Amino acid sequence: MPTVDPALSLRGLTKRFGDTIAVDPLDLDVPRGSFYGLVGPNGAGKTTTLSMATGLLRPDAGTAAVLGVDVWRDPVAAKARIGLLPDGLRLFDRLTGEQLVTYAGLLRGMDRRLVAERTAELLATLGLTDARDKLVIDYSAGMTKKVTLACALIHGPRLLVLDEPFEAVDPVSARTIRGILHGFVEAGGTVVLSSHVMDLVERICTDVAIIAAGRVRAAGTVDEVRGAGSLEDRFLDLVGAPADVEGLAWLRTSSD
Amino acid sequence: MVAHLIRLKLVLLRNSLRRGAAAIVGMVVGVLYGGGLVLTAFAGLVALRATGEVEQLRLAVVTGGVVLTLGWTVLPLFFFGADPTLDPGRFATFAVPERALASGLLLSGFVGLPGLATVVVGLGLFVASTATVGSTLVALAAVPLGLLGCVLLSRIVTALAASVLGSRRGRDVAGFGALALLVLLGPTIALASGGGVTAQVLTRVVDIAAWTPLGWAWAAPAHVAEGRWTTGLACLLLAAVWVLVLFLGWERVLSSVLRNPRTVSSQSGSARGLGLFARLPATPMGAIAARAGTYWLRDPRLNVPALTTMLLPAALLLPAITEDSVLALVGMPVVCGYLLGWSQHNDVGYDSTAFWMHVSSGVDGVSDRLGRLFPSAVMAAVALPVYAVLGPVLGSPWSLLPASLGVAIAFLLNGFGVACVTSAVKQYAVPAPGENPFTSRPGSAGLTLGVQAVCGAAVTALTVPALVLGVLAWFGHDWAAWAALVVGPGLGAVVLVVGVRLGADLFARRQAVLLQDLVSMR
Repeated sequence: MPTVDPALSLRGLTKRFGDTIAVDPLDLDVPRGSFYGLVGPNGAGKTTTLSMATGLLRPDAGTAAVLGVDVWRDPVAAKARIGLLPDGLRLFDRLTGEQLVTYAGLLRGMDRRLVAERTAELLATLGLTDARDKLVIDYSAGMTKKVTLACALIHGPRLLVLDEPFEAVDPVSARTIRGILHGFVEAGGTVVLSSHVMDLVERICTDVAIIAAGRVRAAGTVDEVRGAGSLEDRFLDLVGAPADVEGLAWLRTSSD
Repeated sequence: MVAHLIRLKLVLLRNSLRRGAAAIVGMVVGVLYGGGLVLTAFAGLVALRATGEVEQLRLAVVTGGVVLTLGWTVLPLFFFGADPTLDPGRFATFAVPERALASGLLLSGFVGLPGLATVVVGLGLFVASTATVGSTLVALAAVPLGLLGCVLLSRIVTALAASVLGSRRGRDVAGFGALALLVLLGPTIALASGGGVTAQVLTRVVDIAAWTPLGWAWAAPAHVAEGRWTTGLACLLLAAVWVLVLFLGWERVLSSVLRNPRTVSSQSGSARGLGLFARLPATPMGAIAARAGTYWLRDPRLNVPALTTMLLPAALLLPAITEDSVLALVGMPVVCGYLLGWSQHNDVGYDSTAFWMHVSSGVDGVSDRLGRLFPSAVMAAVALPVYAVLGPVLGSPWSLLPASLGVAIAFLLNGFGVACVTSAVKQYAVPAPGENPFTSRPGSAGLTLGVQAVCGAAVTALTVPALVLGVLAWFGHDWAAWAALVVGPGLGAVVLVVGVRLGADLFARRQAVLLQDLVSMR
């Protein structure tokens, strides 16, 4: 039986910014059909790793392969398989929601009719139909995440890479997004998302990797990684929980 | 508090130099550029003091002072952009007493290169005002008042401009204001270069200026030097009142900014349907063209300069009409082609980090390069023929039409070719989407100047063959005019093809690097 290439395979990925080591040889395999959570403290290298895995940032060393296609050697084929929701990057937000999603589709070389059909369907599912003629700059944070997700989905990717998809999203929108992601995984797709909300990852992911200081500290199914306790306990264990808060006594004495 | 703000400005200045070699190069270029001018002015004023009569000194001091004040007020708006580092709005969340903030921001205006230049020129004006003991005494008070007036007026105008430009309506108004200024510039230059200004007229203008708020402080010592003590002291008093009024005005502007803080990008809008996306071909190139076109219609960072670029060649109509200059008429389409050609050399910079959509979609370089040129191509398709035909209609020989059109198209296509390459190589910082289009990024001046110099030189060098033929046509060789019409566009097409190929290659290899550059510029 031939071995099936993982949905995402990172080998020896390294990135330095000046003297700072952001990602220090990192290996990770994301199995096909998994709902994979990447957790880590701020500055652990999650965004850097995902950027290198999706072709936004060239690694200093190492390889990234999507379904067996090397992202940096055959970028066009690899990028066709990826849908991306980055964190902290702008959108072409002077376009309306409908224009932006259409743009994402046409950029991928899709046919006009198909783009129009899928745009309408995605906007309807994400509850953005009423806002489709509004400029994206006027969208709330949650709507912006949703319209970015629509851009990531329009070409029917096999792997979805989402950087902090639930940050600044209200519970209603979060539920919509979760529903779409679960449907995507059930249909055979693979989702990789980064977050620092342990509860959420524990609840919705099948697999998880804990990253700290640019390395994978633990990886596997959620049950394997958390063991007996909660994911948060294991995480704090690996990352190193801070000592009890000392000082700031003046904050506790209210004088009036 | 005041010392605090000045120290903050100094730290900002030092940190902007730490950002890298480009910033230091920019600063050096700035020092050489402005420093020479300032020192010349200073030396001129001192020399005039050594030799001149009081009459000449008065003219020089009042002219210098008024020009300095106007420079402080107008230049930041149109050329350098308002310095955003000490934007009063940024202090809204701190509990700084308003009066202290007003004084601190005022004095911090003297820190930095423009401040230093102002102080040096101010010293020169002081030296030139020391003709008599009395005028020296008055100048001791008048010159600082004049300098304070400069900075205060400039602070008020930039703060008001920032709030006006915060609204979309305001930006449109500002765009037309810039145009009006441009149109006024023409006759001024024509008047000055045509010898229409005699010494008498100049004296008259200066005498009037001396009695405006801009001139009071500078004229006071001169009045005293010429023996008119009462007039001089009255001017000094008026100048003091003027500074006080400005200070109170500045305080009010400041408190309104602090009490009603607003974000600049508070605009909203909508558009029905897909617009250009439905009209242009449904290919990656068509989509990129539609996106670029939509942005040029909606984004003031792009449409204000675009409109200016399109209309700038029309300024040549003034010498053409007032002095029957045939060269100006023939030059219109050429200037138009030159300006429009490489206007998009920094286009990726305007995408800011939204460029990730192009990177992650794996779009091919040729689509990206050619799609981006769509707005410039449309403007050129409208403007070039109009300017080219306008010349002969207004009196230049029809025989020169093929030459001017040929050279103009050569400039345009060569510019396109160069822009395709440069916008895939290196981008300099531009105002971010939604930012005041008149802000400048501190520390980016060097790179900006460098890239622009290279672009302009490259475009001109590539156009030399067409230019030579154009010059021959100008000197009466009719065959050269037709040759220019063949050779210019022909070579231009070759340059464009090579530029697109090269640019597409660079785009494919460097897109991730470009994106990281854009991320680091935020």
